[in-house]
Amino acid sequence: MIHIAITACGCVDDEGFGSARVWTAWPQDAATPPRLRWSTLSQRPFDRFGRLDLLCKAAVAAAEMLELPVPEPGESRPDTALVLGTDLGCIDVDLRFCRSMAEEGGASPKLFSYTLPSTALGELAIRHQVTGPNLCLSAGPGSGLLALWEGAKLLLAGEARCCIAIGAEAAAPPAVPEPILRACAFLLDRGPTDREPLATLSFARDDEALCRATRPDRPLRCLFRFATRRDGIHTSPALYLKAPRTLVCREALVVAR
Amino acid sequence: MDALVDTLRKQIVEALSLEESTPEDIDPTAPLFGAGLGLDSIDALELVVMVEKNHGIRIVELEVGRRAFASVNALADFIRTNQKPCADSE
Repeated sequence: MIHIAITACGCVDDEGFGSARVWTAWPQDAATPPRLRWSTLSQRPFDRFGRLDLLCKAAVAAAEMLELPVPEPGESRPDTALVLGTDLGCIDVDLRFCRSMAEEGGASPKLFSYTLPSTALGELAIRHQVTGPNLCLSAGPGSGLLALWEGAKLLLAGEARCCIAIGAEAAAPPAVPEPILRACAFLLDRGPTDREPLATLSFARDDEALCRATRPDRPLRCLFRFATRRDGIHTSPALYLKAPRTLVCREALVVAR
Repeated sequence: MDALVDTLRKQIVEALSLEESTPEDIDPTAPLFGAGLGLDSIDALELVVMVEKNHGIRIVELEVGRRAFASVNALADFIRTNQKPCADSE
């Protein structure tokens, strides 16, 4: 068996934000979904955050909850991969950009740069100085879970030593009927690592993966939001994955209560 | 404070979605790019669109843009010099 450890996880959604270590609920009078402001999420500086689009903000905010060490200037992380999975992608910006093309003055360059969901990977790579392989997946419901799976496969293939895998959905009307904000980030490590794993993905020879959560913390529960269509939430700490396609992943999910 | 400079500071904050900044935070003498606000090339394009949309002035040459966007004061001077009388920015 090959074991991939999930050593950290972070989540930002319409209920709050946090990591496996600490969770902060949004104030009761917060908007739905809450407006993400960097000063609320982190003590570390990041001047660009306010200028990102919704999807980038959600992904960057979730990654911040991993509490990764701040890289030194000039330091890079070539052994770290980045994988993002998103069903809605940047639909929010796509609509705004299309509308801006019809406006006097022409299309907005600022919006154009966010009309690809992979832009979030660029923002993450710049912030965390990650130069390893990166992959953006938009494969319908379950894309977030697929990101975790594909991240683990990158580690299994020896393409990276660790991986930041993120599932993110963020959009606002009129692109979607109701505002959506949820993003979950996981730090995968092939090891050895001195961090106690929160969960372990164990791969047997026949590509079946069994994930056992050592602690059923909230961010891990959020993983299941990406595993089904958006009307399903699972709270089991254990899940059973069959590789390698999203459809198979969804069908093979077993929820043990 | 110059009214045009005030207007430009507001327009910059709005156009570039500087959510963590207020117009008063922008030093009109500080560089807009590199140091100062630390804007990037996409922001430069957005400012070109903003100047054309709000002040009716097209910036087509790179060197002209470099001088105009050196600072908010420089941008105000550029607009005053190039604005047609009928295209009132207010």
